[in-house]
Parts: sequence; C-alpha cells; structure tokens
Amino acid sequence: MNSPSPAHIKSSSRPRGLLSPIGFLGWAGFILVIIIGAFICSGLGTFKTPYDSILRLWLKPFIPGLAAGTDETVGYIVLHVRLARICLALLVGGALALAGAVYQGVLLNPLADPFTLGISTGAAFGASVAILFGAGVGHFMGISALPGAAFLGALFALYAVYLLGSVEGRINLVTIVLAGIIVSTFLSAMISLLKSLNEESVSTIVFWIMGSLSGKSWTHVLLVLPYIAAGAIFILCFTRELDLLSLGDVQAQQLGVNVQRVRFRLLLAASLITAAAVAVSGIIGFVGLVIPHLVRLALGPGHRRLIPAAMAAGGFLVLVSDTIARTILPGGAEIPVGVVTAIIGGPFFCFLLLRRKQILRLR
Amino acid sequence: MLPAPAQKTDTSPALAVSELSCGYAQTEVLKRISFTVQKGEFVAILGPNGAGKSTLVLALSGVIPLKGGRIEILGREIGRLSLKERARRIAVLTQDSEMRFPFSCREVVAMARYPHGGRWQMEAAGDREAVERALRLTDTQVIADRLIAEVSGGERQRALMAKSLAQETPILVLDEAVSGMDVHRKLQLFGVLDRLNREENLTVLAVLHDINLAALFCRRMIFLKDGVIVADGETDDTLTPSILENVYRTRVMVQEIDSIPGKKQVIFLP
Repeated sequence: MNSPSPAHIKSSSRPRGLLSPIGFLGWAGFILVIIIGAFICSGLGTFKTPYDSILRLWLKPFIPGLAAGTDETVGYIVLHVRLARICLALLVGGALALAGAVYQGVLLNPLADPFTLGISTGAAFGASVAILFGAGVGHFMGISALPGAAFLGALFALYAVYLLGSVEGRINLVTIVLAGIIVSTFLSAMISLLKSLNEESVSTIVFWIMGSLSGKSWTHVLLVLPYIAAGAIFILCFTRELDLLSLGDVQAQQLGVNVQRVRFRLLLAASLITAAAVAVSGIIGFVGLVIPHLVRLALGPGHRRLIPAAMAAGGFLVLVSDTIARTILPGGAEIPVGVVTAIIGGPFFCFLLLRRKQILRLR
Repeated sequence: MLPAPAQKTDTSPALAVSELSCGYAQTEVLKRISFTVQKGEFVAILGPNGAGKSTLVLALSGVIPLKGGRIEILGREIGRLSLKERARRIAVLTQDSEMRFPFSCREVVAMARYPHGGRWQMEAAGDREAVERALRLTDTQVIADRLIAEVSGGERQRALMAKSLAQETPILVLDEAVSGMDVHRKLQLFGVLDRLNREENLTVLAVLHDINLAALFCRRMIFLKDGVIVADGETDDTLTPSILENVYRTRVMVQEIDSIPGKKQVIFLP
C-alpha cells in the first residue's frame, strides 16, 4: 500500500555477501591497504632507510639475490627492527579490535571493550606480577610464562567485573562498565605500586600503562602469535551465534543456541586474545571500542564480516598510531602508543556519538 | 523405550505434555498440567494474567527447566533433543524483542535458519528460499532491507513472524504475538496461519489475550488459571458463559455471528 520511496530503501541497504565480487574486491583492498601502509611506515623513522632498499629486502625471500649490495645496518633495521614491530602492531591491534567486537556482541553493550571492562588492566597486572617475580623478558621460560600470567590476570579482572557488574545474576548494561572502570583504576594503581617497589622509573610505568611497542622483536611476535591465531580461529567459528545473541537470550535459545556455553567460551577466547596482546604491548586503549563501531557502521552488524574486518582495521590503526608514536618526537624519543590511539580515537568517538547516536544505540 | 525417530508418517502427537510442573526459583507456576496436541491442530491457550501461559511457552521451547513431568515434541522427550533439533521442531514467536545492533529485517529473518545449518555451512539455496517465502507470506518484502530498529512496532512484529515462519518447523507457538498489531494486520496474519495450518498441516499453539480472535481461528481452546487447566475442548464447547465467567471473573455474553455460521464472539459486560 504505502510503500516507502526507493531512495529510503537504498539508504539503509548495505553491501552484502562475503564472496560476491564487491565483497572479494573489498577484502583484497583491505589487504592491499595494510601492505602499502606497512611499507610506508617501515620507511619512516630516525634512521633513514630508502624505500628501494626496503622493497628489495622485502622481496628477497621471493627473488633471491635481489638484496645484494644493500647496507647491512639498513637490512637489520628494516627486517629485524621495523618489520617485527609492524607485524606486532598489526597483531596487537587486530587482537584488541577482535576482542572488543566479541565483548560488545556477547554482552550486548556498545561500551564494552577490553579496556573499559578492565580486562586489559587485569592482563597487565598479571604480567607485572610475573615480571616482578623474575619472569622478565630475557629468560626463555620467563617469556613463555608471560602470556599465561596475563591471561590469569585477565580472568581475574573478568570475574571481578562480572561479580560487581551483575545484579541478581544478570549482567546490567550500565553497572558492568562502572565495575570495569573501578577494577581498571584499582589494578592500574596496583601496577604502579608494584613497578615503583621494583624501583622502576615512572616513565617505564607510563609506557606499560599507556602501551608501547618500543624495542619489541620477532621473539615477541612469535610469542603471542599462537594465542591470537588460535583465539581468532575459535571466534570465527561462532559468528552466527554472535549474530543470534543480539536477539536476546530467550530468542537465541529458542533458535537452538546454547547461550550460556557460547557466551562463556567467547568471553574466555576474547580474554585470552586480550591477554596475549597486553603481555607484549601494555595497555592500549580505544582500539577495541572504536574500531568495531566504525566497521559496524560501514559493513553492518553481521559478525561474519564484522570480525575479520575489525581485525584488519584494528591492526591498521595500531600500525599508524605506533608509527606516529615513534616518529613524532625529534631525536628518536618515543611516546606511548596508547596516547596516540586515545588522541585519535577519543574525538573520533565523540564525533560518532554526536552524529550517529541512534545507530550506536547508546541509551 | 527406544526413542522413536520423528518422521512425517508416524502417529505420535505434535505435543504431549504430562504432569508438567515448572516455574522459577521458589514459585511453582504450572502445577501438574497435562494435555496433548495432535498434528495439524490450531489451539488457543487462554487465561487471565499470571495464569502461567508464558511459563508454558518457555517450558515448551526448552528455555526453563522442568520441575516435574515430561514434554514430548513429535514423539521425542524434550530433554533428549539437541538444542538445534528442538529448534527444527518448534518455533516460538514472542511479543517483545529489542535489537541491540542495526540488523536489517531480512538479516533477522535469516537468523531463523540457524538450526538448519552446520558450523561451517554458509548461506544455502534452501535458506534463501525459506527467507523469501516467509517475507512474502507476511507481506514484509517492502521493509526487508530497512533496519529492524527503525520500522514501526507492528512492522517489527510482522518481521518477527516472518522469522518464525522461516524456521520451517512443524509446530509454531505464538506468545501474545499480535498484541501490538492493528485489526487488519492481525486478521491478515491469522489468515496466513490458518492457510498454513490447513494446507501444510502446521500445528499452531497460540497464547492470546484476544478471546474473539481465538474464537474466529482456533478450533480448540485450553483455559489456564492459577497454573492449572480449567477447561480444554473444542471452541464450540468451551466458549460458554459458565466457563468464561469462572476463568475471567466477569459477566459475559456469547453471541453467534450471523454472517459467519458456526463462529461465536464474546462480549464482556461491566
């Protein structure tokens, strides 16, 4: 009868289909943007590396002999310092955005992310305790214990937030974020205390609480890669369930989803991923909060596309932020990467909030 | 005691509820109720607020555990069905639904295909057909690509009806599913259910407040009050002043409709 105008229908239709031609081009574009971004970022820094050498060094594994004649120092910087750091930035950013998307989907809370729920701080606390008791970087066994300790800390924080944030066994939308902030504030004070007792300088503490990828190597990449990859694959098996959870518990159950079990497993997986990321980078905020919302606005809320796209976008944001963090000060000094993500993410989130309040459905 | 596989040819009833007790932490809402619904029946569940109607729906769909008794769906005990198997046998359409994320109506309808798919299965051809058919039946194609949070209450309810139909179950349970709709839409949707019931043998169990809507479409009525069944029988036999006055504690008048032979309507008197 009174059908809406075609323009109206079009306004809310979205690109759909993972394997449609547009979808495929979209994914290829995503990967291309990340590779080009990584290439540009690897040429920036105090130590000048010409782009043609970088290209040759990157292509060395595919075309042997191409890198002959490049300076050895340049080779070391490009392949062992910067490329490792770029990979770690992509990995950490992807992990945080993925965890944020899962927390938002599982708790049906647009404000949920590893940082606001206190999971990141819990993981950092666990890692700090492990480092204090001698599991510092340098010992092989110590290195492998670090993500485990961070995971325990993350679980502890998750449990505490869950206890504080649920009213009569049900998770309350507002109180869980308040609980996250309380737990987060308390634990970051504890981290500062631990670090001070360990006679570390204030700047080290700041770099841990605000996040930093300074001085990280391939060891760190290999350290967290298995955890993040395993968690991501696990979560990708549950994208349909994540969609159905947004119908509410009762309807999801009536459609055959084991709501309690799925929720529990996804929270564990997201916390493991967060813990792995935090164990090497410290606490980087805003990535897990902003990126899923951005991707949801662009691609819609379906998790089959949201999850991989959020990982790519999160990795890209941390890559850019980390490059800014290590190049913005003259003379090779760095600022914490969390400062950059907050400076980029904060105002951007405010903008989203003001313009698209209805889409974000913050009430 | 071999579990009988539910096949189209077997004679087990759609629903067999015996001595069912259930409720929440301390309170027992349903008290040892028993009834059987054969395949292809169109049954109304009626009763005042707090009678246990919604609790019955939750128990039938496996959302709350039973405290006693048993429920069989198409010959299989509910506890012995996997969650997906259960969701392939019985679909529930509830009244309220709040979507947190900006899904389109079509995406929400497509969610009902979940129990038909395996973990790795992407969208299959059968899925798309079921979704399109459900959209067509409920007259919701025009709103299919709009966000479910942005359509009107009645439109949202129709989209959710489409979702339940897309689930393609032999049994459909409605829990106050048409309360927010205008008269035209109510009659239209019940017309669709009536057709599916007659042509495809869909078993319909409708929890309703609107007794006159039930009187028009449902061939059998079950009256619940204080957690027990106070009347159960064909609409003709149960739609009597004595039963209705007992259930609703209100004076009533039951009238035949002249233009539709065999149908009655109820007028509640002040």
